[in-house]
Amino acid sequence: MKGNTIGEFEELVLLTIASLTNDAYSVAICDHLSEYADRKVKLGVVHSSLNRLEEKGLIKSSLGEPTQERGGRRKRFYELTHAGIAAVRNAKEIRDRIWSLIPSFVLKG
Amino acid sequence: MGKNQFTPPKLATKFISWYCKPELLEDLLGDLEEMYLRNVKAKGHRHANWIYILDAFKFLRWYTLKLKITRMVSFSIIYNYFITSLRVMKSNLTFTFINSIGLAISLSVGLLVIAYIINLQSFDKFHSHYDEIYRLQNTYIDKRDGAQELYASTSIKLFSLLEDEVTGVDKKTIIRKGRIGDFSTEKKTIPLRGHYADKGFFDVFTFPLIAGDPKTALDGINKVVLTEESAIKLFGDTQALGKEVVYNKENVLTVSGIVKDVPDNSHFYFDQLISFATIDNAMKTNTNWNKWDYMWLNFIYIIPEEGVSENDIKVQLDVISKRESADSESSDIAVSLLPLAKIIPGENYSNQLGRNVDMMTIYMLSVLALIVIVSATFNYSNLSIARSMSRLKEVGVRKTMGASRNQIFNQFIMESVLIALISLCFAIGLFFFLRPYFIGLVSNGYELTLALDASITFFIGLAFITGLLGGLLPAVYFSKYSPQGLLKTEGGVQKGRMKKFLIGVQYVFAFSFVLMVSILYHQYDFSLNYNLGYSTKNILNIPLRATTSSNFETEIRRLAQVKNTSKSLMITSIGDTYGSSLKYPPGLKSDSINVHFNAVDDEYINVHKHTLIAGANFEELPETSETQLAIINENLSTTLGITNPQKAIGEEVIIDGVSTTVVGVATDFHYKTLFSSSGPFALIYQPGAPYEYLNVELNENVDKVALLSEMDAVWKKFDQEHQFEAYFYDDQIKGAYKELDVYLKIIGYLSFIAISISIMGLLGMVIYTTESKSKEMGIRKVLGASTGQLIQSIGKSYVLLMILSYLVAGTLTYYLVSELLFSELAIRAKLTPTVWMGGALVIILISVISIIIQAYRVAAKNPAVTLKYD
Repeated sequence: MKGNTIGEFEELVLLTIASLTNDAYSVAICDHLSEYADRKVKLGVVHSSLNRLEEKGLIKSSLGEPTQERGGRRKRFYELTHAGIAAVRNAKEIRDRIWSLIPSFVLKG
Repeated sequence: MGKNQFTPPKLATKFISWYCKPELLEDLLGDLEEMYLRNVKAKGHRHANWIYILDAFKFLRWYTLKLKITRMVSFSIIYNYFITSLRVMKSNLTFTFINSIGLAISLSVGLLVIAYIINLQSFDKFHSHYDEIYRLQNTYIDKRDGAQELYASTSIKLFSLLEDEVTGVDKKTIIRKGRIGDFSTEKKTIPLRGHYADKGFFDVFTFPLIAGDPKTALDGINKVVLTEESAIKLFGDTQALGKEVVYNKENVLTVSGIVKDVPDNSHFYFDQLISFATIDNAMKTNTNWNKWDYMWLNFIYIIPEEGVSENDIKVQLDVISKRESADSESSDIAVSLLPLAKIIPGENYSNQLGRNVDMMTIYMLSVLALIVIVSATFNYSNLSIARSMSRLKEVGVRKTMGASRNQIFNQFIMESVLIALISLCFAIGLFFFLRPYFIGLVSNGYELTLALDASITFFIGLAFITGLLGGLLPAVYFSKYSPQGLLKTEGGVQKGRMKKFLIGVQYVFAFSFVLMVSILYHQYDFSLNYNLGYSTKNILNIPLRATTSSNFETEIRRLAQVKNTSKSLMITSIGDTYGSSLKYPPGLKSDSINVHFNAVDDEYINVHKHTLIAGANFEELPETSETQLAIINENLSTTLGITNPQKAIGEEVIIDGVSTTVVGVATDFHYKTLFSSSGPFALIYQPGAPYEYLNVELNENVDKVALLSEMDAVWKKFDQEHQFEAYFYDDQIKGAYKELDVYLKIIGYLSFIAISISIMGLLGMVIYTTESKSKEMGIRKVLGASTGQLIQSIGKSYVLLMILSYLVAGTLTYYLVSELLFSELAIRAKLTPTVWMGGALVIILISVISIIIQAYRVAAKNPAVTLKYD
């Protein structure tokens, strides 16, 4: 199963990378998650999660151009691989499927 | 540069560069720097530096590490060390056992101290704004002699000035310390402890209300908030909101809130809180109430607005303090802020609202625990090296097989860490066993838990460090030899000096502990038997209630065993003092002096056998008399400038605004504890005084149990609501020196450990030396030396070592005791030679005996046996 399923946090990271399109580097991902996912996210956690996702082959990375602001250091930008896109799609489908099984009165109000 | 003037700490950056994979390094450093600059803006650059350094460690993970292969190898090596260590320990069970037990006993002391400190650290942390709360407190400087005293309390006036003149205070509350009061419903009356608190109380502190509105519960007069427990005691359930209770039989209060019980780790405690407006309203007419120096029972806590620093408020308070103190000719009062977390543990301020733990006690405990642990690790080192004969060959073989110096080193460290961790298991068992005794000793009315779960990581850390320390010396010692040397010389390598030094240090510790116990005991004994200048023998003090009828005294007097009775406001010489201002000659303002006093009746002097050097005892005044008489001590008489005590008789003085006639002068007596020196004192007699104690003088050798039950019966006739209480004066004095008693017990236990450890260490050393010298002795014997001479030759150096350690310990202890432990003690016992010799002799005796026995075993052997195999 390893490589096929993704954890909840990993799913959020993948979605964030997708939503940030061309600006997906670790600090931005961290900020984005903190803002939209309503939880305090530490950079170190994001970092190790990105590393794991890359090992699984769900994302790939490349270094950008050097800029002034980070002491001249380049950023590492991430994007989803095909496997990554498939993984988030898969996760959403599973959820949708289960949601569709819930009778409408159960979760009302 | 402008914006970028802050750069992350260089060392941390270097550290990351050292461990991080090069392909991850650049963007990781970039990310961290970006976060760093952001933190500089948001939290300041010092805070940002800390975060950066912490992050440098946080990113130390498997996937960021450069070297993957070494990791695999080191794991298998560590496993190998582990297995080998276990084998070594198994093959030397006795040695392992002795070492673990020794370490465990001393570790248990460390565990207790750690758990204690962690427990104290948790104090007041349950308030949701605990890190923003400050207490405002006064420093009182006597303008005449410059004496300075730190108080936890402050004035009510400050609270109104805070409202009018100080900006930047978000929330504030004032508490006036209350006493135990009687609370009655129609059905019952119970005593409850509590304070007066104003409406800001629940804003500042987090005490959740289960009924009532925190905003208004303490707003307005005649309101009371009860804890859950006291509500249940009074009403049977917590549905008490809006009901009425009668306070001290006069005030009707409405229950305006029920609060959850006060947690154990709060620095102050209450069963009930009455709204501050109630007492403010009642006391307004008292001219003192709103004075700047009326500062003994009021406590102010504030939360500054966001962004307002401690110093911003301090500056404003300084201005106010200066202005308000300018009018007073007697005192200079400065207000300062203290963060809530520094109350417990903290400094020893006077007039605390609740409980207090002195930092000094904690430092002392930590140092003592450290000494014991260090002593035990020395033992471990010594015994390990002493066994070198068997181990050196093993090491030699390992080295020949290609083990590097580092590997041998690690092997020995691993071994001692393992032993330390095994000891930890024993130590935790001991910890549970000792915990109740320890809590009983150190808790000063606290509820301490010393929970294991809060401190277990520190426990393991301590064991780990202990293991490292203990293993260091043997590791260095064994790893440095070359294999040829090791295998050739039959383990004849000796490191006499180092080992002797370590034993010497252990003995210094042991002697110091014993001397301290001896000195403390001497001082304790001295304090209890000190001649105070009046008699406390066979006196029983009974606390009276406001409601106690005067007939009670009459009936007590009738009991067969009772010689005489008197009444007093307070009990002297047990730590409490009541102060007042005295003016003489009347009307001259600048001559007002501070004087301590006790309000007594006409029999007090007789019961306590005070010696009068001038004048006579009080004559009995009628109950309704307004006259106030005083008997002063010599000190006060000289302070007033009266050189001949006879001249003082009949003089008028004004005490706290009341004209008082001096009728007698008593010899100076020590009305404080021996921790502080006594000064001017007056015994005041005014029949209407609010006496708090009945002092009952008993016949010699009374049957205490029978007498107390008789008295209890008398008490029940007059008062069914309160328990009868009575204390022997001598027991109360004993209670005042509880601190010394506690030190005595703790240090006593520690010295027992230290002595056992050092004697064990010594024994190990002697066994080692004698055994390695057995051939030398055989030869000496053949050449004509007697057994006695041989024992002498072995023992001499150890005895010298002991004498040297004793001298060092003596100097050390003398300094410690006189500069630190007894620095607050005003009257100290003289240190006689017996004090210095007592305990030390015991140690020397035990040590010498054990040396002689061991030396005799070897020396008495037939040389034919020892020399046979060569």
